[in-house]
Amino acid sequence: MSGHQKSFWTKYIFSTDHKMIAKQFLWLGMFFLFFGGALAMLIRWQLGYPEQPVPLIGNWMWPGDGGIINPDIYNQMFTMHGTIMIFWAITPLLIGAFGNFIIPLQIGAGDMAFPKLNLFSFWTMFLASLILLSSYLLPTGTAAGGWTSYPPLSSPAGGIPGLGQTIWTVALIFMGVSSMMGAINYITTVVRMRAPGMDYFKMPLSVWGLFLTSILNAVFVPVIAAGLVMLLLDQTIGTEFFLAGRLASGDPGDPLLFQHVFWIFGHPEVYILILPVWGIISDLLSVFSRKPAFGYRVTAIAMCTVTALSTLVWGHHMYTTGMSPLLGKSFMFLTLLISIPSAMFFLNWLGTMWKGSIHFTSPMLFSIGVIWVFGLGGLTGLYNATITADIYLHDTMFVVGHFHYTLAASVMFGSFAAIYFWFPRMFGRKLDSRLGKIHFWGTFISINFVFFNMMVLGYAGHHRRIYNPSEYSFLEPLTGLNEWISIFSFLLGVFQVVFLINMVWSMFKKERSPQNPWKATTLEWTMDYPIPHGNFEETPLVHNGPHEYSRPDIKDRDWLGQNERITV
Amino acid sequence: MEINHKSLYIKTTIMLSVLTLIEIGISYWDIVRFYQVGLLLTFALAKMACVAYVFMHLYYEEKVLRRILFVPIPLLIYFLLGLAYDAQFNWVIQ
Amino acid sequence: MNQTLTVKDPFGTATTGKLAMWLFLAMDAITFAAILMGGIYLRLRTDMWGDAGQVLNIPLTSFNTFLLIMSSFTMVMALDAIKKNDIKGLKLFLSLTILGGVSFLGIQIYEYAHFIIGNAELGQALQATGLKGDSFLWTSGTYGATFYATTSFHGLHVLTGVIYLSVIFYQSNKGMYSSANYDRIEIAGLFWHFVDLVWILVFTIIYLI
Ligand SMILES: [Cu+2]
Repeated sequence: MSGHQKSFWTKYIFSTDHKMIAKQFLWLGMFFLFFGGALAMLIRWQLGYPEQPVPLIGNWMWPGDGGIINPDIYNQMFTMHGTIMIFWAITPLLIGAFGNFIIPLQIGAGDMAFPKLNLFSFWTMFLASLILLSSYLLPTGTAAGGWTSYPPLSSPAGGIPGLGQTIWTVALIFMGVSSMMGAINYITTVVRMRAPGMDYFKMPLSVWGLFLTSILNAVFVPVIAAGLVMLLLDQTIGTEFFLAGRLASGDPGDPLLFQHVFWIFGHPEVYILILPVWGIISDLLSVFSRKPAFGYRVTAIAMCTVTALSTLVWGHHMYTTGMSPLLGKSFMFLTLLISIPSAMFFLNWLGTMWKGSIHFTSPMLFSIGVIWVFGLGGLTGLYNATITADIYLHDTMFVVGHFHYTLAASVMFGSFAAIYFWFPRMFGRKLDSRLGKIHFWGTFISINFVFFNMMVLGYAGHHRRIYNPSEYSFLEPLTGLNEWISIFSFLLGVFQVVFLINMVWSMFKKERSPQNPWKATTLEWTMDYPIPHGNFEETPLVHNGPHEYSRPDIKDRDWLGQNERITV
Repeated sequence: MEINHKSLYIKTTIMLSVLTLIEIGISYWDIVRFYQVGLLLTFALAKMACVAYVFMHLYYEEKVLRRILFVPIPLLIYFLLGLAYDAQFNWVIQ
Repeated sequence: MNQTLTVKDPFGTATTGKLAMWLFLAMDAITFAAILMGGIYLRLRTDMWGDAGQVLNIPLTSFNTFLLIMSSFTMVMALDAIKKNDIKGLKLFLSLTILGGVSFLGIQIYEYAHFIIGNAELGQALQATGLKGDSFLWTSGTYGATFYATTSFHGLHVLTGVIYLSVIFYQSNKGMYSSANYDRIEIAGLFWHFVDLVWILVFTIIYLI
């Protein structure tokens, strides 16, 4: 491993070390997180202060319109906000960065099963990012068909003009290829590379979450890849898979087919994004409550059950498409069934904290934050899953509020918890805890204000993609609320800058973190910083489960590492 | 497992060819569409199983691998049922 | 007390590379399944679809099916040969497999060319299904779109397989394989058989049903 000299290129750019690839994914994800966040601010500006010039940057960005966001640009904004946040921010952050970083370390492996495949996975993702961003250079602008890109909106016939949508499709296909490479790598790594003694039920729950995510990725990314290829053929060579009515020249296809294919993938995608968070915070709650995770096996099995059920329920996104009542009711039943296993591990989280000696560190605060926002997001999901309620709520701001609670809020909090927790392992220093607290409370308060009130807006009938709410008289009483949401979302943005400052400052500060600052039991804390290429000097032997805290038979400390044995 | 594989391979190849011929025969056979499609799919599945079990040596792999590879099949059938039902459903009462 | 720690590995003897190939094939199979399911969905919503033999040339494609089955057979024979350290046999059977793949592609190109150029006879056949024009193109309704998407995606797999096996052939020419080291050939074989396996389904669903 060591010994031979490494050039800058092989060490930092084309590295096959999973820890370096994790950092590359981290920076890619952070870049797009802020990019997508900036788009969100602009969308909120338009909704809060319709057709007023954007302060500071408006005249510079759109001089032709006097600094106003015009409807076309607005459509492009919410499209790219959704696409970037889901596929280019959350996916690289949670699955790319933390999947790469913690899977080999926590299972006691020297690296991924296929380090070169890992390298290709990142660079394919990078290529996909360049393709996606290049669409901004087009005179007609980038994609504007919504992140779901339903045809005919996304087809050239009667849809978004210009190449932007096509480039979007190509970028997503590349991103899918990258995800598939990652999935193969993660699954084989977990199956094959576990250290001796590391049974499946001794793996930390983070690894469980990431493992299940990879399985879902492996099963469902191919589905969307096929759908996107068909869409691309529609967009380029004139096939008519998804065109109907006047748009079709001959025998019509069916736009609903795309919706089916999209949501067969799209619903599991939600779980692809959130399963790592569930796993990570199940572990973190145990670490900072100094108690074994309550019902470890139940949590793991419940997560598996959710994974299985999530594959069966795609139709709940299509209740308003004229689906047959029989299908609709079946999808509703199966969807509501998911709340049972979800409630199981949710209660387990509370059980972990119950009577624990809780340390309110930054990662713990964010983990508790996940419990709150995921609880709200999950409960509001029941409304959307029920046909009768959904027919009214479909495509309103209620849905936006709901999925931002589950995806944006929960997943962001989970990512932050992970970053605060594993930062000492990645960069050898701890993030500043005072700035961390400011970051948490600022984010927590503003994010709840924003998304809770979005649901209120939706309940009043505010449609999710309208350009200018002031054009509808029934939305007039909501003008003030819209404005307040915008103000709080700007605040939310400001508090993320605190985090960025914290991250950059802490990375270069002198004070080193101790080797195991959180007194955690898992294997990634057993070596000195910087972790060498190859991770473990000798293969660790795993004797204990991942949550051995406060054991009564150990007197001098309240934890026992997974590779340690009690000497009585 | 070090028996003479050659004869097994030859037998499988002949079997696949014969099954293909029968399939083509069925496709020209004028029977109820439902049975025709059912028969054709059954034959196709049988052929695929031959290829997987003999040529891809799935028969000699561990049980777990075999089982895991079969998990997507019911899932895909579920998708197909959902899609097919939705494709044929029509709110207009005829 | 000296207990030995092990990991229970239910996948036993399969190498990691083989496991990864199986995973890849499962994903690939799902991609094919998604495209085929799309085709079935579209077919259930339209009458403009050719019955068996109406538009597509079944005898020609049956020959193609036969070619793939034979090349699958030669592929296992190649693996059998290297297991017995018979390099000559390996090279012979590998080249036969590659030949089978290339012929398959040739016939597919001929089939495409025939459809794209078109003629009056084809035009009449298309007329019977409700489609217009003298040539059968990817723009000929959802039937054409499904036909071309599915078969060309499969054709790409055959092409990939041919290139893949050519690399293996080149390597075996350089003496990289022996009876102690043939894992890569087995993995390449898995891919090649998979191409055959998928073709069975594509042939049944697109051509025969
Ligand atoms: Cu869903």
